[in-house]
Amino acid sequence: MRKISYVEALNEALKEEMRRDVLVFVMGEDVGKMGGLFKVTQGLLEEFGPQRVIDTPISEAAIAGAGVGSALVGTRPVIEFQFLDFITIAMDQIVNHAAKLRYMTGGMVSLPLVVRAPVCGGIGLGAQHSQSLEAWFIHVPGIKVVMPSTPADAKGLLKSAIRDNNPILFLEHRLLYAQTGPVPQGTEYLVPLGVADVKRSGTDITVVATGRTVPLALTAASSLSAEGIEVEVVDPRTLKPLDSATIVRSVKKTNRLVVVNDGWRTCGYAAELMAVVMEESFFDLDAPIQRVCTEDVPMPVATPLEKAVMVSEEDIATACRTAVAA
Amino acid sequence: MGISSGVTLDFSRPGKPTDNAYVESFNGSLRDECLNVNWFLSLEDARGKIEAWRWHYNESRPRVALGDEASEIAGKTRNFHSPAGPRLGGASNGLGTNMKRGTTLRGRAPDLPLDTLLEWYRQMCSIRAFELEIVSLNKAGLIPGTAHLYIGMEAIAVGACAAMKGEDFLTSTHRGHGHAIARGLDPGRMMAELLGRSDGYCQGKGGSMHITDISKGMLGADGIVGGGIPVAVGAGLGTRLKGGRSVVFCFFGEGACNQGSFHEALNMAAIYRLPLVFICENNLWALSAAFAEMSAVDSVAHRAASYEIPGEKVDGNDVEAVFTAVDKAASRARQGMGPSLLECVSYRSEGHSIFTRVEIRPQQEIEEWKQKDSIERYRGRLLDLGIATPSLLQRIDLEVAASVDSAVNFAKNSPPPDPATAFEDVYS
Repeated sequence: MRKISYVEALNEALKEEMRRDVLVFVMGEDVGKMGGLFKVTQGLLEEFGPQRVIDTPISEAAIAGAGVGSALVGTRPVIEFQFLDFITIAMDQIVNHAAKLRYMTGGMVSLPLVVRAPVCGGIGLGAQHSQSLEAWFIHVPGIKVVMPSTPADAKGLLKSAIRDNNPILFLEHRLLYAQTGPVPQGTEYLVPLGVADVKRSGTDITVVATGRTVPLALTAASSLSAEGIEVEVVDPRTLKPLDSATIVRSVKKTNRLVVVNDGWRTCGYAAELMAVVMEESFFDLDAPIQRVCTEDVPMPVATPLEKAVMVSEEDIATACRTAVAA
Repeated sequence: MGISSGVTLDFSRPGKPTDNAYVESFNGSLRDECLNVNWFLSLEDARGKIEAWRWHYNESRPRVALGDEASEIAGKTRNFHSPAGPRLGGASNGLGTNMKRGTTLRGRAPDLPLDTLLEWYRQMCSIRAFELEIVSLNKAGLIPGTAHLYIGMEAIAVGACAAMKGEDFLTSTHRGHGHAIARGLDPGRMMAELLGRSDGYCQGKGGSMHITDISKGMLGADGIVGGGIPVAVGAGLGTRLKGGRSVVFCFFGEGACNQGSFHEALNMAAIYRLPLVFICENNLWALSAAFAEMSAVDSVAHRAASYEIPGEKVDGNDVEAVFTAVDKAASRARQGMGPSLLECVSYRSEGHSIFTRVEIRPQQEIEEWKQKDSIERYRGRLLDLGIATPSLLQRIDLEVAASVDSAVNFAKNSPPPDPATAFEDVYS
């Protein structure tokens, strides 16, 4: 199978869906002439023109509101925030409008809106350009949250998200943009929302990881295999709605669990994963669940500081050893 | 520029130093009341607006200052912005008026069928009756939550929605019942929603602040001040993308103008030349916050200059003036000339909401505005012009009362929602 990068996969998904449906359009800061800060929308303006590839002013609230309004009148907007951190300026439109309009109108409207944004640190951009705020949105009923970890999932999930009739926060990881991997061809290659994927089979311990931490968990699993610990890595892919069945099935097999997420530890998504397993599979556990997250500090800039705060392979491996030893 | 357009200079009369003060006073008034509140799009547009103001300054104002004693002046001038238009005679007809069906009113508003003018009266009365009914239903403990009443501001919704076409959209506010009724939503389903019943527009999940009817282009009331303004921009963008001809009418209060969303949305609508009409309902108070204290400029219409779009201040208690201004802005939008900002100045007769017990506004101000009540004023005008007789208006009043009664009955008879439905409609 051909190999393409995560960015190329996203770009392909956008192009294919825009060719398939003239009601799909993209808007955001620098998405047109520049092709997006991280090149995800490259070539779209040339192919689809300024009516469907809209460069906006730096007006996050209005971008999100325009997404909501255009979805209300029957188009399928895909809006981009250059960093998830900037969505804080648009919270009203995402949380009070996009998430609630269907419910507040008794199901009268649907809101096919995709909000794309890159998350997390790792390139020294500091506390206002590095946050993984997925837990905020997962907390709010009415939004779906998607976080792909491979180029194939990136493409298949983005296409599914664009075809879905709900507001979707589609979170990409900057450190994954350049990663390459096999991506199936064909415009009907889709990855369904709400379905987890077992990225590696194992018998001794389950690691549930999200986004960038999935490849980290896979690397950790390889080194643990040399130590005789076989790790099963589960990637939820869609953080909400969560495919808890796949996770529980894995825990029933391995009886041990480590959860990994780039969000902060306190009240983070990892805490939610732990709670779900405690509720659904407590008696299958042979050891306390281990949690690996970003430390509870704003993201620093200097590389040694950033590394100290962020999740690493070694953190995951250590957590696995602890869980297995318990 | 001036000379090439035929402008000549005039000088103060020699030995008449009082001319100076006179001219300065005139210049000040012209600047404050005309030049600063209008956005001139062309020389022709400027001539029209300045002429309208000149007429008001020379003809209308002296009469008002004299308590309308000099009304014979009106007879000598053309009927432009004249509250006392020509008396229209003729035999009575089936409408109960002394004008023929199909006759149009010529004057300040564009020529309109008399039926339309009467329909405006009916709608204004319907809104008021609906709102007054909420007061009594609330006293009876039948309304869960709150409602923000539109009493006093009826002329804005009715005048503005009269300029809408079937395919147009509107975004509303927390004080949105007026817009919904003027747009033709069913008062029965609205009242059912207010009472939290299953036949409500939102099946009891939205309440007063979220009444929506997509089939009528009503994209929703909104509980967040300023929240609907960027949504309207999106509706404009979406409409354009779909190749539609809809205009989006975006209502918001003067309180919303101090939100960032107002600035972001107006700028965006202006740069994309979207088919929008921004209608600010300036009722002078955002709960306890006086517009004069909270806005750095004394007119919302001034803010249009920031986006190089037309801005106009309108008497929001004059339904014809509102219609004329909104219709003009809508035509502009339909022609692809982009958005406009209208500031309709009015006043809410009631408190901020049926929930709010404290009234901070001066009693005298409340009383003064009651004297300018839009319905009373319009009623007087219909009678003055001979468009309606007292008995016709009375008949309309009775019909309105009956229709609100039937809305209330419909709502009261609607069953409460099944608790199981609380868990539906989160996702599509």
